[in-house]
Amino acid sequence: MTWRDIARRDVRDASRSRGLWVLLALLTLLSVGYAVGHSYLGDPTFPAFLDGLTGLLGATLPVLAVLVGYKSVVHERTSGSLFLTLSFPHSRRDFVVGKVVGRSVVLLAPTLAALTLAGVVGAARYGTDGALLYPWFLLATALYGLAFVGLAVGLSMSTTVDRWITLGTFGGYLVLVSLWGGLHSATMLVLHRFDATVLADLPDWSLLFRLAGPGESYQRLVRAGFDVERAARYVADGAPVYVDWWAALALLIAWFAVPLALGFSRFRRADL
Amino acid sequence: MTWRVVARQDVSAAVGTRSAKLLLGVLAAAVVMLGYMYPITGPDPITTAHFPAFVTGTLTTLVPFVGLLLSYSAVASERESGSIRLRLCLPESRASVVLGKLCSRAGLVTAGLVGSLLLAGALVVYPFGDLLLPRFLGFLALAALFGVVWSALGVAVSLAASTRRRALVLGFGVVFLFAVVWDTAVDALRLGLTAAGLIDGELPGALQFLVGLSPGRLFGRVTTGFVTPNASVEGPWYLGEWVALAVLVLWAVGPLGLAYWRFERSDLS
Repeated sequence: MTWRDIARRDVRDASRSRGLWVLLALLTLLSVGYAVGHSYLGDPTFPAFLDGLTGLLGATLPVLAVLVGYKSVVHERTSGSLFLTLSFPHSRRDFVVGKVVGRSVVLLAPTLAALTLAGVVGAARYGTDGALLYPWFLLATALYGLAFVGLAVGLSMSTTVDRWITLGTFGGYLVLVSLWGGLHSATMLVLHRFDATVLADLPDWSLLFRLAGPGESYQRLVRAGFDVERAARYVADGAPVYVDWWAALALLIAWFAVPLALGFSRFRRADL
Repeated sequence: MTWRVVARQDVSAAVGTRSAKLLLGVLAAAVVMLGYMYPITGPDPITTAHFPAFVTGTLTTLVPFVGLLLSYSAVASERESGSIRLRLCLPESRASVVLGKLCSRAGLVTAGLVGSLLLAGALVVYPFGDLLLPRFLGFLALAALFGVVWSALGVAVSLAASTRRRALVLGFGVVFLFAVVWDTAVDALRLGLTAAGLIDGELPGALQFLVGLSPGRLFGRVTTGFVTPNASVEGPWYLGEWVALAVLVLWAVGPLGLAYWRFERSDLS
């Protein structure tokens, strides 16, 4: 149970370096800037503001999460300081748990601080209708960021080849964030032998497949708390039960936990 | 029980080779591709029970090549290099070596065939077709038997020849005869007899039985008789599906048994 020390050291290291402060500044600029600028882009209501903010974070937060996490384990492993760390009474599990917690804090503290500020600015500018559930939005965003921290740290544990980690994390970002909708449509087209009518009338199970993308899950969670435009297909009439908000919650947790579990199962057995 | 050791060692050696990957990959790709094409191009109704009639033609051409090429060198290469003599110094009998080799090679072919057929079946069912499970499972069993027949023929060839090269030539001869020229030769025979005025377009029953003895034709007949709904094989009882199944089993055991009988008595030096 020494993971607290590892996590504390990880956070302190990060706060002494410039990275954390750059992150905070960037996120504040982004979210508060959007809160100010939203009135030029869409309806001046609070849900519409959240809708735009969700789209903005959906694209940017994964990049930051991946950047925070993808060097976490492999850097210590290749530089040799992992040997020193493990010669203390830390087990590998403590090390990994501490790293995950530390990196999560490094990502989430600035994110949540910036978003709280943005929420206050947004409520002041666009009224407080529907703003009561703002903590739910923070929770959904935190889970979304954690999903990518899990992916990045999991990859970082699985190998020592830098190239694979870089390719894996940024390939993962590309597939899961940028290309997920296209991938989903392409799969459905190929399965239905290029009968394009399937895209207009998706079968039920493919909604779950689409929801499995972290970005879609995030939007579904936001939709569960607020009256936003996004994720409309999951709340349409006749949508199956298993694309409800709890499914999105479970999927995001799985995106966090499964890569970590896979990475750890390799890391535990690896020769350092 | 030493055949298990032989089989396990042989599988782990064979799986890694490039030729095995290539052969099984070609077979699997062809079968999955057919499963993908069938719902668009096949005749109605689209079901997993009608799908076998769509694939048998391809299987009767591909499986002989894959089965024989995967197994022709099973024993012959060890015999050529001499390592079989070392192996037989261990407490392994000739029978357990042959049984182990057969299990490993036939297992590879069967696993590849059944796995790709399962995937193809899933592609047939989703999104346009219907699942008729018992008949499809029956077809999987028949396809596995067909794979075993050709692996057994390959091992038989491998036992009968003393070097790899001879085994390859012999094996290609067998494949060429039964999978390539058989149908053409039968057609030529039919046309010739018709032209000579002896028959009117149809071979007599006894001759049909004789030309139907090739593994591919037997496989087609058991598929039609057991799997395809509302279809039956025509003709007298000896052209029926049960006789065909029995002869197919005989193909799996007979040549291998003969070759083993010869191998057991041969000098391996």
